[in-house]
Order: sequence, then C-alpha cells, then structure tokens
Amino acid sequence: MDIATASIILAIGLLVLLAAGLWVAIALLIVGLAAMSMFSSAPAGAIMATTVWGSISTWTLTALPLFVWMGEILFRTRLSEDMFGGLAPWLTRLPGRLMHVNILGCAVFAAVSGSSAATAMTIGKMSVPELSQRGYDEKQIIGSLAGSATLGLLIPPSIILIVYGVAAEESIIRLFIAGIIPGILLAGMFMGYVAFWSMMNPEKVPAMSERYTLWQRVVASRRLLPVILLIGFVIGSIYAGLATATEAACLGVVGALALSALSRTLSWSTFVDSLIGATKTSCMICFILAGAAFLSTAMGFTGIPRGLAEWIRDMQLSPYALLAALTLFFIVLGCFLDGISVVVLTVAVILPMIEAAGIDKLWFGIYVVLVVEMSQITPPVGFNLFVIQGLTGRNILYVAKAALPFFLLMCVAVVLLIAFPDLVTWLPEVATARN
Amino acid sequence: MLLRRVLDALYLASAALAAILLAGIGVLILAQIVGRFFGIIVPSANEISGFFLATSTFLALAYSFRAGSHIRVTLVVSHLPKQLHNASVVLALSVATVLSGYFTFYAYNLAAESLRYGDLSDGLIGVPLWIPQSSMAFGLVMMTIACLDELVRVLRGREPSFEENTESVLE
Repeated sequence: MDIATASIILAIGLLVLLAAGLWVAIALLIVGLAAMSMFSSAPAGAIMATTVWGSISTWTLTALPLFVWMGEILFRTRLSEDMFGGLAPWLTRLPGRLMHVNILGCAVFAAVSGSSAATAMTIGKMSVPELSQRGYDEKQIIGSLAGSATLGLLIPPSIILIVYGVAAEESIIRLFIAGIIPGILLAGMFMGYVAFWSMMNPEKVPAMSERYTLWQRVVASRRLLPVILLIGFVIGSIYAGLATATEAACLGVVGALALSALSRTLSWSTFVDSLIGATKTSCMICFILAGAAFLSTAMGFTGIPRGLAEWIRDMQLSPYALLAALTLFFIVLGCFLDGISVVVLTVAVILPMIEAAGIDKLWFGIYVVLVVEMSQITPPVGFNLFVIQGLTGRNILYVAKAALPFFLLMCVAVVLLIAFPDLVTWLPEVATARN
Repeated sequence: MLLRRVLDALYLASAALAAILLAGIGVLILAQIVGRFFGIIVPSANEISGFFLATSTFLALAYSFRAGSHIRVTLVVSHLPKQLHNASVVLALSVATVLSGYFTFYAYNLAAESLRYGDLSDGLIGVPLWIPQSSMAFGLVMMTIACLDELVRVLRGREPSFEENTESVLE
C-alpha cells in the first residue's frame, strides 16, 4: 500500500473512532496498532507496552502532576478574592476600569497555574459577580474572561508546554521562559482592546464609584503579596537556573500549601480533594501522552511523517505559507479536539515536516500553544466555553460571540510571532547565555 | 451486592494509592531539594519519581475512567437519538474492553520478562523493573474490569458512570 492511501485510511480511522465517542487515548492506541500492523511485521503489542511504559515513567514528566496539584490547591483558596481586592484600586482610572481585573487577574493566576480551565474558573468565580453587580457590560465581562483565561496555557508554568516539551524532546525550562514575553504581549493587547472599547462605548462603563488615595492602594496591594511571592518563587527559580521544572513545581506545591494555610482554607478535606483532583487530571493527561507516544513510534514504522515532510519539501512552500495552512488546520482541528490532543497529534505527525521546513522547534511549541489557545474559545468544542457556560449560565454560542474580538486579537498575535520570532526566542537565549 | 461493593472498594483503593504516590513524588523531590542544602544526595530520586508517576497513572486509570475524567468527543454521539446513542456507548465500551484486555496481556509480558531477565533501573539504586512495571499490568487489569463493568451496566439499561459523574460544569 502506498503511503498516501495509508495516511488517508489512518486519518479517517482516527476521526471515526473519535467521533464515535471513544476515549482519546484509546483511539490513539488503536490507530497506532493499526498503523504498525499495516506497515511492519514488528510485534505491535510488545512495542506498545514498552513505549507506553517508557513514555510515562520518565522524570521530565513529573513536573506535570505537581503543577496540576498546585493549581488544584490554589483553586480551593481565597486567592481570587485577594486578587480582586488588591488589583481593583489600581485600575479605577484606566478606561474600562475594573474590566481589567479579568485580564490582569487571569494573567497573574496563569503564572501560578498551568491550565486555562482552572484560570477561567478561579478568576471568573470572583470577577463575574463582582463586575456585573457594579453594572459592567455583561458581554465584555464574559468575552474578556474567556479570552484572558487562555493565558493559562501560555504563561508559565503551563501544563500544555510540559506535554509539548516531553513529546517533542524540547527543554521544558526553555519553553517556559519562551512563553513569558508572548503571554505578556497578549495580556497587553487584551487590555488595550478593553480600554479602546470602553472609550468607544462610555455609556456601557459604570462611573467611577470608589476613589482611592495612593496610600489606600498600597495598603490594598498587600493582599497581592502572597501570590506575587509565589510567582517569584516558582518562575524566578526557573529563570535564574536554580531549579529544574520539576523542582520548581515541587516548590510551587509547598508554596501553595503555605498560602492555603495562611488564608485558613487548608483543611484535611481540601487537601484530599486537591490531591484526588490532581491524580485524576494527571492520569488523564499522562494516558493521552502515552497513547500519543505509541502513535509516534508507530508512525515512525510507517514512514508517513517522513513522507509528509518530503512532500512539503518538494512543494517548495515558504515557511509562511506552511504556517498559514497549519494555522487554519489547527483552528479547525481545535474545534473538535481538546488542546492536549492537538499538541500530541502534532508532535506525532507534523514535527518532522516542521523541521524539514527549517522552523525552530522551540518557537513552534509556543506557536502551537497560541493556536491551541484560540481553539479553546471556538465552538463547538472549546474548553473555556464550557467552563464559562457553566459559570455564567449563558450558552456557549453567546460566550463564543462575546469572545470573538479576543479570538481576533490572538490571530494578530500569531501574525506578530511569525513576523518577529525573536519575541519567542530572545528571552530563552538570554537566560541560557547567562547561566 | 457483594461483587459491586468489592469492585467499588478496589477502584477506590487503587485511586487512593495513586494519590499517595503522586504526593510521594512531591515528597521525594522536596527531599532532594532540601538534601542538596545539607550535601545529602537522595539516591535515584529522579528514576523513582518517574516510577511513582507511571504507577500513579495506571492505578488511577479505572477510577478516573469511571469518574468521567478521561476526555472523549461527545459532540457527534450526543446528537444521536437515544437508541443509537446507547448503541454507540456499547460499541465504544466494547472496543475499550478489548483494547484494555489486549494491552493488559502485553503489559504483563513486559513485567514478566523484566523479572525473568532480572532487569534493573539505571541510577544508584537499581530497582528491579518488574516491580513498577507490574503496576501497569495491574492498573490495566482494573481498567479492563472497569470497562466490562460499565458495559454490563449500560446493557442493563442504566446510564454509564462516566456520563453520570462527569465533572462538567454544564448545568
């Protein structure tokens, strides 16, 4: 059978399995088995067992459960209230006022949590009632929350960057550092848009109700201190080269427990809940990663990725055309698959193509995550849409419409990353050169 | 029913052990960090934390599967009429049962071979590989049982637990 026919059969097979409601990890394993039995006489079952075992029992991956756990602990603290109380006094004079709490709150929480669903839940739980009570425009509240919560994927620590790093064999530390500038850039663009929108629609922004003196602001800011210390602790130790990603995650768990104890939300039951929650989530992610690892190995036997890479090379596509095509492809794929599945499939099939086109693997990781972020807020399958639907009781089409401007801003951010790759690669280079 | 109680206890006990191992990763890494300050090296901490993660993953598999934590695309099947929807769940569960069973067999083989050849892990402490690897076989046995358990449940006309328990925030 030639490679083109086989790739099409396998791709359709995967889609059918997924659409039939099979669990993602299991679908990946089945397609891997099918691919191996079509192309080689190697013992598929034995290779599956070895690959799966090898892919999960690695030290690099241990950062993942710990960061998941850290997020679960913080989710059960009063961190979000403190963030509102600490940020609000500084924002009353900006056009758009407290609407920026959504964006800054998400960006700050993203810096201690690795997931966008957790970010949306934690910040939204606090900001949505507070903002709508004060008379802010509902659609803007929901849209800015949906958009900025996706920062959880980009701003380190990020679960999905760990998944990419492990699957693509790229340094997790370097990926984390590379995510910082694009994350801040995106948050800045969101804030700029909210400010601009508020100046265009002044009637939809409630008047300044609270006035604060500088001293009151400084006093209120002390509520931000714990979370800022935690961020400094975790990201600082990574950036300074003091800790590996796993060690930073471990320090993060300790810090989160301390913060939880200080805010008197730490009890035996919250501790157990957070641990069980982390166990389930990390099991789910590791299992998908294992399925993808086997699929990657099986793909190696088929030669499909190599064939695709050669095909791309023969077409003499410019990297820009390739990236444009991929962006479109990812947005469509992201409409139906969750972010982690998109990333692991990418690595299994598309990475050789990317390397053949001369695109940097580190840069591509950030690019993929940004595109996956966009897919979080596109219907019909967008994790953030689900979370926010549950939070606000507004249906996902409404939420998606509210989030549309933020989706478009992310498209602009993708173009910026392509035009100025230094946005991604500069900081890791500086950090590595220094250490 | 006794069988029901035994199964539920087994799922829960594996998950509890999985959670303890996950916390164990944290303790191990913390010991490594603290140890470094005092010049103490925790032997093989990196390898062992990797084993903890793998073991935790497989032990939690059945429990998290039933709790609805594992991602699946329900977009298409949820729009099917009731009967077809049920048929799709039966089909998905049958496929999952067969795959888990198949996987269990090879996971068992892997551990059995490591035992036969006396394979050890790298690092200061050479852990016999069959010990952590048998957790993969055990976890997959549990997963196979859980799939079968759900299959029986659905065939008897009840909602599958992973749909009932889904921690979705949807109303």
